[in-house]
Amino acid sequence: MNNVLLKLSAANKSFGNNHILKDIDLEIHEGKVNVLIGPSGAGKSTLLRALSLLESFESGELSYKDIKVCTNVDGKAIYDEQAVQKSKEIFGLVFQQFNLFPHLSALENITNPLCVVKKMDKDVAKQKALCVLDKLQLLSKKDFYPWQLSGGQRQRLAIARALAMEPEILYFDEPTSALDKQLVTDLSKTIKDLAQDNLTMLIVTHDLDFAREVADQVYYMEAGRIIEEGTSSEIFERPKQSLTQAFIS
Amino acid sequence: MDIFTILVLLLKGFLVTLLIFAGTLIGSLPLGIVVGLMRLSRLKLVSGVARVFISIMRGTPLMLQLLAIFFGPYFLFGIRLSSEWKIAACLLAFILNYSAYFAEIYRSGLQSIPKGQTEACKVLGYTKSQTFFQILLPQVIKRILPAMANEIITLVKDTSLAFVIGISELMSQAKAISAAEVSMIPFALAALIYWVFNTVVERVLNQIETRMGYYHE
Repeated sequence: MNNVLLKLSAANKSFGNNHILKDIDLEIHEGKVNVLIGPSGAGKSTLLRALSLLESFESGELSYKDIKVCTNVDGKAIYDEQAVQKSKEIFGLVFQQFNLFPHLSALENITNPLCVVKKMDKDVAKQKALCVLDKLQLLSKKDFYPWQLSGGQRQRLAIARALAMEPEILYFDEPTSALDKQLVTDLSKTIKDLAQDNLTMLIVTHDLDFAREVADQVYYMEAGRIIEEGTSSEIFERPKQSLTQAFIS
Repeated sequence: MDIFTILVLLLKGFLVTLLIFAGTLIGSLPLGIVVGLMRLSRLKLVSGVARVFISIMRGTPLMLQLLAIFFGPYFLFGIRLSSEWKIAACLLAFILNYSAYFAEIYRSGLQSIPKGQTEACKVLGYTKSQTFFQILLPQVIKRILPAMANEIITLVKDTSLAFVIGISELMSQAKAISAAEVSMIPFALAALIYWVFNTVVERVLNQIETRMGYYHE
């Protein structure tokens, strides 16, 4: 029960002369809440975007389970288009800005990808969507459009849309940035519920209280490198690296 | 000729006007999407072709384009021009010309959609064409409707240019009757018909705009 879902090795990425990600190694195992913390500008979001295949690594190797998404050839990361497409069934992403489809209702935001991407039958998709909406307490909002929802509801809809695709690992990009304190508490509860259902998550955040609340495994990142990794108590109570100590205190 | 007879003749001309109007929209609305997407292509050659096409179509008079397309086959290849070719040449010129204007409107509309929409589609696994037809195009249509309405209303009036290649649409009918009768009345009636038709077009476009108002960004 501890399969490797994601394996990244020696990954690099720069924008122009700006070396953002430096020799990153990362291995995510099934069934844990992984949290990536670090100061802004550390490269956390870029790393998450590259793992979501919205950006590409310049060098390094990435695989999702047994799917080799990119491999190193002569020091350059070469992506396999088919593998890229296939790996999208394994991960999902909840964007910082949610990126819901404004012209579709809450229900349609979930059924559209199911019908279009997964070629699911309309009625089956609807049943599935209603089930996920219910799980995230949005059933009464099923016919609302995104603009009619509050910030917290929009985020839950974004989570619902991603969940309906049945990913094995769910990414969150700065999920607390648009939320007030009460909503952060609600989000923590949602994440713990998802973890109860054995969903693996990788959460990028600079919100330490939130990270402490939800994390099983913590990665500390600074200046493009993952400096330290460990369980929540290892990182928050007994950090080994001085940079980590400085950041969390 | 009494007013009633004049009106009947003018309305016959209006049917031809209507044909040009409808034919142009049916052809140029989809063609505009193709040209607009070509213009946004990352392939330099493709976007270059679209850029030149748009530049020529917008940069030269529609009247000249009508004449060039209509007489082209005769001057270039000595082909005799039939009366069917007349209406075909007319539609071809209008469709090409309007697709250039529509292409620019589609392009600006597409570029105004936040990048997050495309990114969400990418992560969810949509193909490029699924992204375009399911997610982008419906939002683009809402955004570009006011600009489209402008062009469509201009098109109603531009159809009168067809008279330079001898098509008996509303404008040429009015001119012929006016010359024969030595009267302003045919022009006044033609103006009235254009205006009434445009009022209807405006109504329809407003209705579509209202129907798209069910959501905001």
